[in-house]
Amino acid sequence: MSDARLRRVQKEIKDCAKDKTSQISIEMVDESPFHLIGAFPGPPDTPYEGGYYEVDIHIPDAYPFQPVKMKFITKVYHPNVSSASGAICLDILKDAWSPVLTLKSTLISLQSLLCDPVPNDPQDAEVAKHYLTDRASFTATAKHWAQAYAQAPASKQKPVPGKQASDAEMAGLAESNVQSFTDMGFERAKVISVLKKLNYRGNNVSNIHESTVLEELFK
Amino acid sequence: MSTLTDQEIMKLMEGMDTQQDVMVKPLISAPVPLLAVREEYKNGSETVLGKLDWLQSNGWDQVWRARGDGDCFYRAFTLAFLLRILRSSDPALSANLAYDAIQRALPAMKQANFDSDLYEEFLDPLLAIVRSLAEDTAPPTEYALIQSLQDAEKSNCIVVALRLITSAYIRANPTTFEPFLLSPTTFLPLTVDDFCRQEVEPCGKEADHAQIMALAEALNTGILVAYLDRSDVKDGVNWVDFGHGDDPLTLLYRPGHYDVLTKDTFVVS
Repeated sequence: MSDARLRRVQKEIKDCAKDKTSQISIEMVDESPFHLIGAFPGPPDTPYEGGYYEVDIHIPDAYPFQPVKMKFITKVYHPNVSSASGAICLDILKDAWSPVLTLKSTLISLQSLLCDPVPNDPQDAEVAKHYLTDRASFTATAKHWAQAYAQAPASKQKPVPGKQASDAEMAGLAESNVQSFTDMGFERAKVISVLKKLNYRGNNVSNIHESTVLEELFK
Repeated sequence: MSTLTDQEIMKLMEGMDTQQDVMVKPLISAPVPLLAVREEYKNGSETVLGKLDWLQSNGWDQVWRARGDGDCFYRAFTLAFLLRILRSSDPALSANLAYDAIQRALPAMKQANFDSDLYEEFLDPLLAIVRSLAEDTAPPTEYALIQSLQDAEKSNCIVVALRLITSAYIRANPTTFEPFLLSPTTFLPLTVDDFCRQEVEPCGKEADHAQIMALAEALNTGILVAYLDRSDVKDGVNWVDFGHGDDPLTLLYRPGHYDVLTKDTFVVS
């Protein structure tokens, strides 16, 4: 079993190294071919453009009959990626995996996932709500994250207000909304986490009564 | 006649009945009498029992069980395909014909953009067995055949190869298949690409009529499936046939599961 698995993984790593056009890289961690780090540039014309994304790869014992395990190492603001753990919601990493897929083709699928989020099947429900409620604000936050965590050079991005993103911007919240609650004396980090959870953004603000926010803040 | 001795059957069946967990059952079993299947339906539907009795009295008395892990159709197909070669009047000739049939399915795989290095590796174990059946000097026995198919790596490779052949055939004939491609969970129509990606290529996804039809046609063989459902059939069983060709492969279907069905008193016609 493991002979064929080793042969296949080694071939995949070699093929990927030979291919200069895809810009996908696969490197070994600690010289084990079964624990790898994949990386690719953020796709153009997306908030992730200019960023460089690293993915933790584990090859299970039954590979290629069982799907490869992947999660983002680089923090990504995306409906199908957990902003806390990097876990990814993508069908081919679960029940649509097929042994004819490869590490490279799977990393390319991750790159496409960054282009085309699937908010109806989210990994991160809060991010998905943000995406569905206020697209412009979502895009701005995703750009802030790309700059902060994925070394996206600010020059390649359309200018965003302010030099460094504030904690409110990183959470995709309007500073004025955050302030209206910190002015009441609540701790800033707590306000941001509650407003994020309630999706206190754009038109949705009018749907959320102040008392609901206060109730959460007092918890 | 089956070439298996009682001792060989005992060995191949080890673990089949004692292990309750489906994932540790053999991938494919030595033949059991159809009566053993009947035993499972002892207190069940009269209709199903009637169909089992009809099969028994018409000589269909042997069942080769496949593990119920979603790949059972492909594993049952493999055994039936290879048994047919072994039991034919001229196994070497049949093996060569089978080898050619597989080779003819390869261009569609290329056309479907599957990586040839990858699918050739999955095909190798199947081609190796077919080649060994073409040898006049020491062709494998039924015992050796089952033993190879109980090897997880070989069996899984063959399952993947057959899934890719099936997928490539559906992709190459979209107009034929499109009207029948439905999601088994939502019953909504799927595109050819979505259906192949979600329901054919991944391991563990059960085969339905579209997949069976595609594989039968891709490998130019008939497949005859005896349906053990509760539908009313007077004096008989519903046989559903796929593809065409003499001497079709025969499978037994119970809702959600396929096994191989053969006649023990096999007569060469």
